[in-house]
Amino acid sequence: MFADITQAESAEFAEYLRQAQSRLYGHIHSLVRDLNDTDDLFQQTTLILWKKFAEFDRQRNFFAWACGVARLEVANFLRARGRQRLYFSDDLNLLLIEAQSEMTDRELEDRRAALAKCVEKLRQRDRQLLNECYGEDHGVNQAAHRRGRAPQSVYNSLRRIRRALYECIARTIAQESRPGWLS
Amino acid sequence: MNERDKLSDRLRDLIDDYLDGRLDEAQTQELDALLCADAGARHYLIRFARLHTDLYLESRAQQAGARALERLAQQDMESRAYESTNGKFIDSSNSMPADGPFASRSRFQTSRVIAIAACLALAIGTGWWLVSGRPASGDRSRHEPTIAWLVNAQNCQWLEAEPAGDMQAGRTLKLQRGLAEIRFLCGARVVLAGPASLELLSGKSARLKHGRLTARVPGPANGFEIVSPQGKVIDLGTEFGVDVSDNGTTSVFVFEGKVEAHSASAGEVSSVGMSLTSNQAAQIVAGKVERRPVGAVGGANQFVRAIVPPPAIVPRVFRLTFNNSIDGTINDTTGKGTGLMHRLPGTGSRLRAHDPNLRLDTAKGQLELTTTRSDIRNQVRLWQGEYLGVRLSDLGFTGEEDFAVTATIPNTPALEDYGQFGLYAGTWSDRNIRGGLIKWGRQDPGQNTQFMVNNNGGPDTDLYKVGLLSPGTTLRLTLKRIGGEYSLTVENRTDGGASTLTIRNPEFLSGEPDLYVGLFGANPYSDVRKTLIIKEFSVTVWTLSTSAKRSD
Repeated sequence: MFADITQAESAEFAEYLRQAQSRLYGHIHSLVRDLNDTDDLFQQTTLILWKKFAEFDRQRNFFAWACGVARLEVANFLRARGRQRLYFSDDLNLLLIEAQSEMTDRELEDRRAALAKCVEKLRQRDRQLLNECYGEDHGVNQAAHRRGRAPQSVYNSLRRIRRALYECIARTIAQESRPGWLS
Repeated sequence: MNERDKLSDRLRDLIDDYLDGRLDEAQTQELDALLCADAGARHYLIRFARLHTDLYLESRAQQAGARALERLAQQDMESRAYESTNGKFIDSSNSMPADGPFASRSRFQTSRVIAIAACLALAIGTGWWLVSGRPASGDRSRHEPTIAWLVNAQNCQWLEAEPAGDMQAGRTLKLQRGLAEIRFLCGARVVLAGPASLELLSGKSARLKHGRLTARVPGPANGFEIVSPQGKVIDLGTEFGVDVSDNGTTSVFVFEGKVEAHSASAGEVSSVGMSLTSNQAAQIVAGKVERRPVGAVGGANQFVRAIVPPPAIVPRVFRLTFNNSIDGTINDTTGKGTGLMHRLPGTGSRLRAHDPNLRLDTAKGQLELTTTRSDIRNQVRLWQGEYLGVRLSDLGFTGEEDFAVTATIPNTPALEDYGQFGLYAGTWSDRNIRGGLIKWGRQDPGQNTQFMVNNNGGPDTDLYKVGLLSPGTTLRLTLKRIGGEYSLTVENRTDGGASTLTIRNPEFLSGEPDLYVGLFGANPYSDVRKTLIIKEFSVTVWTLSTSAKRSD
C-alpha cells in the first residue's frame, strides 16, 4: 500500500513537472544563460521540488513555487562562482517570475511554432551562423574565427538575426490568431 | 501593438548583451533598474529570452542528431554485432571518434551507447519543436471542444495515428501495447493498459470496447462513467478498475470508494445498478450484474493504477572554466581558489596552502600547473605530487555509475625524461589508473607518447603506450568509465584526429564508492619542470534520478 502511495505521488509530481518543465527550464536559462549550468540547476531544482513535494500546497501555482525554489538555487550557484554581481536583484527576480507566469502554455507553443517557421525564412548564411553560434560552446568566437571576423561583428549579426526572428514571431502570431478560434 | 516603439534602443541593446553574457556589473544594475520600472520591458525580456533558449535547444539538438546519424552510419559500415547495452546516458560532446589511428582499440559498444543517447537527447530536446513545428492536424482540433487530454504515455504502440495531446468526443484510442494516461474534462484520470480500445464519449464518459483500465476520480467529479458492451460502471467518488474481455464480459473491481454497476441488454441500460465498495468485485455478463469473489476477476493486481516513470539516468556535471576565483577550494600561489576541491589521497600532503605550483589566470580563463618531482611509479616524493581534482561522491557517485573526466590542454609542453601529465581516477596514490602524455626514456626530449597505466600497490602495471604527438598541440583528454570499463581518449584539437586507449581493466577499483578523479603533472626523474595550461575541466557522473529511486 505504501508503495502505491509513493507511486501515485510520483506520478502526480511527474505530471506537474511535465506541465511546468519547459517554462522552468527557460526561466533558469534566462537567469544563468549557459545551457550546461541550466541543466545542472534544473536538475538540482527538480530534486528539491520532489523532496519538498509533500509540503506543496496543491492550491498554489506549481510553476510559481518551482521558480521560487529555482531562484534560491540560482543565487547560491552564482555566489559560489563569484558571479552574483552579474545577477538581478531579488525584487526583479520576483517580478520576472510573475511575468513568466503570465505567459500561457498556449502562447509558448505558438511562439515556438512560429519560431520554427521564421527560422526557415532566414537566409541560408544567417541560419548557418545561428547554428554555429548556438550549437557549440564558445560558438560566437569560433564562428568569428572561421570567417576571419571580429567577435563583435558576429555579435552584431546575431543581434540583427534575433531581432528579425522576434519581429517575425510577433507577425506570425498576429496573422494566425484569426477571429473565430475563440469560442 | 508594436513593442519596438515603446522600448528604448538602450534597453534592447542591454537585453541582447545580457543574453550574450556581455554585461558588466554597472550595466547589469542599469538593466535591473529599467526592468523593475517597466512591465512592458519585462514582458519583452521573458519572450526574447525564450527565443534565445529555444535557439540553443534547437541547435544543440540538431548537432546531436547529426552526430548520432554519423555514428550510426559508421557503425553499420563496421558491421559489428550489436551488443545490447542498458542504454546509459552519455554526453555526446564527450564522444570519442573511432576513426583515429587506433580505431581498432576503440570501443564500439560505447559508440552505440552514444548514438542511443544522442537520439534520446534529440527526443527530449526537440519533442516540442518537431511536434509544434508541424502543421496542426486539421482544423478540427481548433473548432471542436476538447474533452480529454493524453497526459502520459509509456512504451505505447498505437494501432492508428498516435493521438495528439488534446482530444475530442468520438475519438477512439486503439492502444496495442504500453500504458496511456488520459485526463477527462471532469477531472477523472484513466490509465489505459494495452491492448485496449477506448472511445471518448464526453468530458465525463468513455466506452471501453475491450482491454483494461483504471479510473481515478477526484472527489467533486463523481458521475464519471465507463460504458462497456455489457453495461456500464458509474463512479460515485472513487478509484476502480474495469476489464472488458474479447467477448464483452465486463469485470469491475473497486479499489476505494463506491461505484454502481449496471447491466445492459439490447442497448438498454438497466436503471437498477448494483453498488460496490472497496475491495469488491463484480462481473457484468448476459444482462446481469453478479457479485464475484475478488480472486475470480483477477483482483487488484491486474490493474495498473499509475504510470511510474522508468529509472532515468541523469548526468551530473562539474565544470570549471577558470574565469573566477572560487572560495573554499584549493588555492593557487596567490591565494585564488582554483575551483578544484580535492587531491588524490596520499599526494600533495606537504604542499603549501597557497600552492606555489598553481597559478589561476582568470583573465585568460586558465589554470597553469607546473609539474613537480613526484614519482608515483616508485611512490616517492608524493608529498609534493600534483594530483588535483574532484571527489566523485560529491556528484552523487556511489560506486557503480558511469563517469568521465575531461580537460583541455592547449600548447602542450615538450616533455623530457619521463615527464608526464594527464588524468587519473583512483582511491589512493597506489590504487589508481592514469593516462595522458609521457616522454618515454631520456633521449629525444619532446617526443611525447600517449600512455595509460594502472597502479595497484606501488609499482605501475599494465602500461600501454602508443604514438607520438608533437609538442605545441591542443589536446582534449577524456578518461571515462562506462559499464565498468575505463578508456582514455586523446583528441588532437590542432589537426583533428583522436585515439582511444584501453588497458587491462583495474578490477581493484570496481565498486569502490570513494573514487577521486582529476589531473596530474610530474617530472619524476629530472629537475626539468614543465608548465601545463588547463583551459577547461569537467567531471560528469551519470546518476539514477531520485524520482526513480523513490518509486521502487
